[in-house]
Amino acid sequence: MTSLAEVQSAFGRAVLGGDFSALTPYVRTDGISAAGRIGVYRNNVVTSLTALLADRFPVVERLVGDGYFSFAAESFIRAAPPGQACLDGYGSEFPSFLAAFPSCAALPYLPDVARLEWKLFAIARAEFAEPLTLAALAGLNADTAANLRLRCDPAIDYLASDWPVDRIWQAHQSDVAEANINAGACRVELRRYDKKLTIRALAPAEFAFRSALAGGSVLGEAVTLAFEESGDFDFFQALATLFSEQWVTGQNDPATSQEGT
Amino acid sequence: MRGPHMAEILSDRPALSWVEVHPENYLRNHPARAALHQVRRDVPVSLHGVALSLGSYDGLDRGHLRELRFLADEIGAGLVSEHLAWSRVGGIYVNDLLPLPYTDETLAIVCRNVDQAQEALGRRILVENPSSYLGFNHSCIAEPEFLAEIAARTGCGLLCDVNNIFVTAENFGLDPVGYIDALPAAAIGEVHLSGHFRTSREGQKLLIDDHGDRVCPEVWALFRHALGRFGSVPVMIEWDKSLPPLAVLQDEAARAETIAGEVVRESCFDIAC
Repeated sequence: MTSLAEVQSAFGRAVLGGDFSALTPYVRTDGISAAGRIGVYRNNVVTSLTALLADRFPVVERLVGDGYFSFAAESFIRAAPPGQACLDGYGSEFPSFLAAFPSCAALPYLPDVARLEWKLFAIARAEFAEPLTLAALAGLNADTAANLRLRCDPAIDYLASDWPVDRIWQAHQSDVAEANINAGACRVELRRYDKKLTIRALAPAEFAFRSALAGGSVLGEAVTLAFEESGDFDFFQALATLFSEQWVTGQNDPATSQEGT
Repeated sequence: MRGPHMAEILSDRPALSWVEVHPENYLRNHPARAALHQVRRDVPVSLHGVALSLGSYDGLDRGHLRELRFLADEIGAGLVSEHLAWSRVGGIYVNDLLPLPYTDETLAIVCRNVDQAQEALGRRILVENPSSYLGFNHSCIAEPEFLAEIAARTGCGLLCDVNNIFVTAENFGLDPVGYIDALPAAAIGEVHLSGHFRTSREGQKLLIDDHGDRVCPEVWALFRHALGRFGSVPVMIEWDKSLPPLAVLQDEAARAETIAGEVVRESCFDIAC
């Protein structure tokens, strides 16, 4: 008696790995061979997931060309098939896969372009959060301010790269421009404003300050990191700007939390 | 309703009786979900899932069911449907609707999963007949009987996709009218119509259900026959690939409505005679 578990396990290997051997004996072959029939499903799976990745990494696809992109995508799908019913998170590991993919070595900036595209894809779908005004810090205790955590708008993210991936990305938004890949490193803030995605280059200290806070660091740590980048870092100005730019959507003042307990 | 039509529906507010969406596209995409809420103010919304994997031996994903329930409650989904297919094995999701062997074992597993889905979602679901390109040597129950048995055992409704019946019947040399006649009319809660793609493999014709064209004449004729059996049920035009302007879908929907009207008049005439 054939069990459904055996059939499904064999089918999974066939459509994702291309190994049809275990499934073939179960398939009725009238008119079209087992391989021909299984191939319809394998093709559907691989082409739909490749199209999904191409949609999420359009600049990577343009940089490497359709044919090579399909090859890399198929290798990725085989190595890391989707693990969830909702495919919104699928592709998050594609940048690190490309970094380890031997034949991508000729384009050393490719993984960071992919990281940039993934972050843009993710913030485009992020939840909406109401910004706080500076008045939210009115009761802040100077002794505990260093331990304050600020919650960043979920539609903001940061990326630092040794390559000018912001310029490479911008150049591929139109057909005309070519980016100078020797333009050096970049530190950028990515943000969704209303429905538009923006990429903004930041000075090293400001990048250190904002990306540390967004990553969950307390204010004291973020300020220290910023001063390591530049002794001229203006902390009060930087903090006020976070509020004026509606960056802050929540705060966790340890002093206030303790009072609450 | 596909993403590209959403902006048009929100700005022009065309007269639509209802729209149907794949819930997976709205579970974690917050701007899309906000837009769906806006659409819902004017038009009823039904959810047509593609990733629940009702046929999985491994069972259903409880986390996915919770997300689905939340969305269905939040937008007040008119209908919730899924496919007689599977996509989940060993913690991996295959992005497709894979076929099932129709056996007593599969029937028991599908019914267990449908029970679990209806319990978790707090409502009756509709189960749709799939398009098939592959059959199993050990299948021993015909697909319409298999669907009828699921409906009888679990109390779920059925979504009759007339194009899928045509595609499967053409691919396996079955009689599509006989298929429709073998479905339990009282269980049918919705009908789907769409186009398909005609190709061949190894010199034999093969129809692929790509939802990329207008409904073909043979499927319109089957639709007329199906409505004669099922009576008045909600009808949805599906279109995924090569998405045309919304007006083309509205044109197809208007044609379906005309046929439905004719079928009602014909049946009244039958009774009068």
